[in-house]
Amino acid sequence: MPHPPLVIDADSIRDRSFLYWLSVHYGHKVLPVIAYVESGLYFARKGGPVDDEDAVEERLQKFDDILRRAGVLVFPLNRAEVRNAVKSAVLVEGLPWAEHKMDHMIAGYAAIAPRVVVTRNKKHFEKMIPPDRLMDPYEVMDAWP
Amino acid sequence: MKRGAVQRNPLSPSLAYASFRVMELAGEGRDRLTNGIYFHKAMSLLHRRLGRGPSSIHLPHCWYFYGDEVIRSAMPYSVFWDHSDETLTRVGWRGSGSFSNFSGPAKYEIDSQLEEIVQEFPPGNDVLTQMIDAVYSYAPFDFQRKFRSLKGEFYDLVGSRVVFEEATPLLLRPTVSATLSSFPRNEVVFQAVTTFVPPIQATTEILLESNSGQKPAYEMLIDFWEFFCYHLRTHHRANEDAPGETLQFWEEQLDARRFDYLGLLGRKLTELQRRFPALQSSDSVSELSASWSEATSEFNELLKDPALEG
Repeated sequence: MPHPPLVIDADSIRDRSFLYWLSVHYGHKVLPVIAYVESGLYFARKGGPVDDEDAVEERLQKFDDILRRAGVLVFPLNRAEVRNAVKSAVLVEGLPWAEHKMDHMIAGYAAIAPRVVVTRNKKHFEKMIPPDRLMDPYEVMDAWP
Repeated sequence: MKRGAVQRNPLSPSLAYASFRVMELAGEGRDRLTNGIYFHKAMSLLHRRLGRGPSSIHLPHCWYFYGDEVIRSAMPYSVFWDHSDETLTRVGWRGSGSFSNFSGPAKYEIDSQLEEIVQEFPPGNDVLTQMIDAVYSYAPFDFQRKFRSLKGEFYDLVGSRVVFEEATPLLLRPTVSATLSSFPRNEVVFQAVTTFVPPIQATTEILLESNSGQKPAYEMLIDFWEFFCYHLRTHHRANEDAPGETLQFWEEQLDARRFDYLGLLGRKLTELQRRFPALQSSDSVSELSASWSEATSEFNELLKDPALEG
């Protein structure tokens, strides 16, 4: 049986061991564009001083290289996925849009079965994604060693 | 067509009308849910028969893993995909399907061609293989047709309940060789795929000489086909009326797909070399293993970046 598509949250993509696992795991591995922005920002800032555009560009090239070599694809949201994100923001209580934009957008992308959300913050998604399609990076690595 | 010139147009009357008519003729229920394969193939046949003349429906489509298929994101808004049954994708129509403003020769042409298609291929599961065959007859590359026949030969062996191990390797080896020899290796778009042809050919030929090597040979060919198809859909002969941004999106993915495939193949070959020592003497297999090792070392260096955790 093929592995389900993995939808990766920004907090998981910066985990070294998970990145290594991704590189040896063949399958559909997606970083939604909103998670790319968040993790790219983190990667650019954490790698040392980035005081000009060239330095930021260099950091982002390295980040892209890591994603490419791990076989991770950056996907935009299509119309159905964006609609799912809106539904999530409207219908899920306790996760206001202002603070949880990224969660709702990732959930919007992952709402379509059999996509699995990979996140360290399962609590943020448990009202939006069924438990069998919500895993943290370590559960994923254990499920498909 | 010039790249980027195509925009998704929800009001494109002939494409919307043709999509609706296929579902009206082949679909069921209020949403006219239609078997996804039937829809893709009927639209492809219709587009082919109407040609690029004044009655063209300008179908956004590309050749991919299962043959010619419509590009979903560029179809009219009223067309939707239903995934409620995980084993079968269906296509449906959202809305009334009123085309009172659409008339004239184009409508007549669409109606009469679709009537012929539905007569030739009455909706149902038993015509799907024939439809796929009909569509494959105009695939842009001979390699695609040869690969489909090759898959058929493997399926026949499985379908007739002949256990892989007992099947005669001699039956398959010439077909595999002829198929891989027909790979369009001079096409620039397939350059990254072409580099994998020699190790795949060497490996499958060695595997097919062994009684227990046919199943891994088949799996290796299917993986290769999948990798090829990611490139195929970006080739100018394998897509039409595709939005420029869609093509760009597909092209952007190719490098990540290459690393993913290189890793998969490298790991599989390492395991197969243990089971089939003859693979160790193949130069092209050794070269591929060396590229994989190099890519792995480079990746491990990248993982030392201080921004990463764990």
